[in-house]
Amino acid sequence: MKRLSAKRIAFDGILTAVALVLHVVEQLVPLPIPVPGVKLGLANVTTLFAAFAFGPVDAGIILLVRIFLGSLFSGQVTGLLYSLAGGSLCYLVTILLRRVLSDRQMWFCGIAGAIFHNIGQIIVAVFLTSTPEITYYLPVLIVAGTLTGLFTGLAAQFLLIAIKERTDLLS
Amino acid sequence: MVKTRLLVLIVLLVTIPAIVLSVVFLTRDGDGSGGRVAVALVDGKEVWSIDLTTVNEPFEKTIVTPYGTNTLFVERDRIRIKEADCEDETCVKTGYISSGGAPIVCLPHRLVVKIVQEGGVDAVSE
Amino acid sequence: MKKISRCLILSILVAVILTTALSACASPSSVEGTFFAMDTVMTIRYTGEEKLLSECGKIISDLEKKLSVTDKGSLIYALNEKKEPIRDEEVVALVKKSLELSTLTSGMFDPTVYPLVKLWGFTTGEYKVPTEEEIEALLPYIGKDKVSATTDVVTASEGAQIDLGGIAKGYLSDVLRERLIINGVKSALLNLGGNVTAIGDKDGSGWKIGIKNPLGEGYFGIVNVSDEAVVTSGLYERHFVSDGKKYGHIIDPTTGSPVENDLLSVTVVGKSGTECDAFSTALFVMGREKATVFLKEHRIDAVLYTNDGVLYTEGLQGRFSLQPNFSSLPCEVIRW
Repeated sequence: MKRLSAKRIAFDGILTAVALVLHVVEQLVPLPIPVPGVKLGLANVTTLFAAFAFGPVDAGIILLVRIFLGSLFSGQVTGLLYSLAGGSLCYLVTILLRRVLSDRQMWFCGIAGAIFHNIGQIIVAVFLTSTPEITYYLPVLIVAGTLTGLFTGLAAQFLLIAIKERTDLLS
Repeated sequence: MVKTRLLVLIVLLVTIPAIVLSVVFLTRDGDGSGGRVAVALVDGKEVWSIDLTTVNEPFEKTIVTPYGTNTLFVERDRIRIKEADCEDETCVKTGYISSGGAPIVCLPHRLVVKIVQEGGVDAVSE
Repeated sequence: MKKISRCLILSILVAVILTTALSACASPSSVEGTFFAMDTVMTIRYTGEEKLLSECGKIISDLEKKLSVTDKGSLIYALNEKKEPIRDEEVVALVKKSLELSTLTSGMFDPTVYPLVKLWGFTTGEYKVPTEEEIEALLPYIGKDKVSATTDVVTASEGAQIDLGGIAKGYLSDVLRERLIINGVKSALLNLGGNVTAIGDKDGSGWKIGIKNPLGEGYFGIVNVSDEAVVTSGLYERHFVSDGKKYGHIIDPTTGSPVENDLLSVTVVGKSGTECDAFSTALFVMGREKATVFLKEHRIDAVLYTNDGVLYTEGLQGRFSLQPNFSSLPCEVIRW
């Protein structure tokens, strides 16, 4: 889908809405692991999906809208900085990988994106608090990122492939 | 197109060391030497510190940050955040730290509690 | 499929090996042990083999067994209560050394004051202020001439009793130190109930040893040491209060009563833990003036916390500093 069609705009709109819902919902589920910055990153499914279905522009817009409106809904300004940092690194990696990966390899993109999302958050945390010791948590966040990224990556992958194969929404 | 095999390889090469390092980092107790001075920083600026070796009776210390309040529990050689009014309470769940290594972090309050080697003493002659 | 699994296994192996190697490099083998002996807590921290710890434990318990004044099976007890001569090489040498140090300090350090220590109740905890007569009655038994240490045997005259408690921890730290060094340990910190001994210079910058504040919490100063012992004697140690008056456990051999002078704590820094231990006690008994003379005469490094402030010897210049919250305390250097 190369042209800016009404279909595409509608699709992006739905994806953005879904992203926001996921963003709010995942905050209601507290993870038992006491490590700062660990979260499910569910909203990333939409960014990933958009990147592979449409392209960097759509994914970028959905991401930015989700981050800004999302932080409005959650009411945390500090969260905004962290989300921006994590989100943009994740976005960059996703866009780059999209060029060399096929639809069936989206899971890898999910993992890479999640890992770099966490790296971005740690970098911001270190700067905001001037505490380089926070990097002690990096290995843990990489492992967490791998797990959550795999989950979201697979979700986006199955979704995209299913839609492509069974419908003609994306032809 | 990139082969899937390669991707799996990459993931493993990154994840397995990360798992090992996580265990190492989070369980290591520092090298036990150096002073045990616990420092609390908000936005990177020190707001309170205490030499843990001088603590005889455990006590509580409340830190009020512009973003929220945390209560520390200080003992002879360890410290933890006992209470916090942040949403996730990750800092409370982190538990005790007793020497240089992973710090306790309250991201919403931009508060970090860590143990530094400087400024304290290795032992007290008495 | 076989190719993939082989590749996978290989890469996993490589990854695991690499990370284990990395983490092994990252953490030196630091060993720490805690022992309870001589009525106090002893901690030993060093970089080296773990097996040395049990050797240290044995050294500690062996020595305590030999020197204890209360343990009925100890050599000292046998000498004191049954007048049995001591022939143990180590104890004989130690008694000899303690007598030498007594001479050196003009009797201010005296291993024979035990009868007086008992009289005041410091051994049992049943403190009391004895009468002049009671003290007078014991004085004839005090003095280094009441104990004889020839090349291989120690004997004590009638009524005399020795207690090496004032030198035991210092000596113990010297023994442990030697054992660790012989086994290749280059860095260690021993804290035997407050007697601190350092091996090496930590990481090049020296070990920072705080000196306890004799009047309250925390430490009033820090002394930087490498390969040295730091021993402190102070008022705040075992003491009791009677009729509003404080009586410490360090007895002045000349008066038979606990020390009462212008010193609140004395800290001696030196190569020999044994000597530092004896000197800190002796200097405390001497009082400020005599102590200053003694320090100058023998060029011993020490920190004195007196009624009027802190004094420290020239050798500690650049190595001793007052803590920020004590900076208003008058602080002077004792020049050789």
